[in-house]
Amino acid sequence: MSSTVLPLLPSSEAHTILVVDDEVLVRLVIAEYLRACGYTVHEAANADEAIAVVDSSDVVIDLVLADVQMPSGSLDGFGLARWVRKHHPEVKVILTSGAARSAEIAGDLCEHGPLLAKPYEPSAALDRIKQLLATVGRPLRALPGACSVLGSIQLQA
Amino acid sequence: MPVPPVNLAMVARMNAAVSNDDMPPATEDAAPRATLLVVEDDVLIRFAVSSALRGAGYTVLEAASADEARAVLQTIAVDLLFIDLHLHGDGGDGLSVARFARTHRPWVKLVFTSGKVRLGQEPEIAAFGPFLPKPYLFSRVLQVVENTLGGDVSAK
Repeated sequence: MSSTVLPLLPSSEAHTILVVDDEVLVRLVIAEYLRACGYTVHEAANADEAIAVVDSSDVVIDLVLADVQMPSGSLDGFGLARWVRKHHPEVKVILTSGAARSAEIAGDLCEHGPLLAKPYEPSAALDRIKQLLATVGRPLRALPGACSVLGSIQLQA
Repeated sequence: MPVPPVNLAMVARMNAAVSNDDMPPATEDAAPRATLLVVEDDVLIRFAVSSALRGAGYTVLEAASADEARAVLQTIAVDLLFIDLHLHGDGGDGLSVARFARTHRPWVKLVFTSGKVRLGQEPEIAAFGPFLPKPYLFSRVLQVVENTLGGDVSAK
């Protein structure tokens, strides 16, 4: 890794979402979907990357959409949610999981009920995100009524 | 640490879950938009350069390791790879990604970056594509990417 000084990014009126998933293709699909929906989306491959982004002064994250199972980092999704709750309580968290997990744990860590279960429909994730971000005080760029997964990318032949 | 296998079935289900009703109307601008894959293990650099490239109109995918880059290359049609040579994650360094691309996706254009280059690496790098030393200006990245794509596909 290199320590490189980079200029600040231009500010955006769109809400900013951090997608955290160590399955790159799952992360890619949901990130592209949310970008097509008008959000500014950043990606993290594990909890350590997510913490670096949320802690960065270069970007304001409104919502973290994180997988629970992330063995490649020092924390799993629950640990990340606890870290966010402690250090950046203003940031919303949605956890996703492919395994049966305790809804009570997720209920403690996430606003508005239990986690989305994988495989989840992207539109269901969007509904949950809209619900949560409606409580964020920053202005929201108008979102299109519909958006698509992989709308601008093509699968390898 | 091992990276979990990519769950292609889950990706397919997530794709299939979007009905035709969710699709946006067809746009009049049918010009191809280049798809770039940024391979960089420093998340703050990755998100900054990816944001700059998206701002220029490219579709930008992100990989945090060589393993992730190969998984994307095997699945998604990518026009250009922007690769950091020194990757500390799983699956090798940036040159290993370049060799994989040359073997399996020979049409993909390559651009390299790094804070330093090991002695003896220059000839192999030069054979693959241009090299952009860190720290770089985003304007320079955009210029090199555009030149390397060579008009095959545009940003918009």
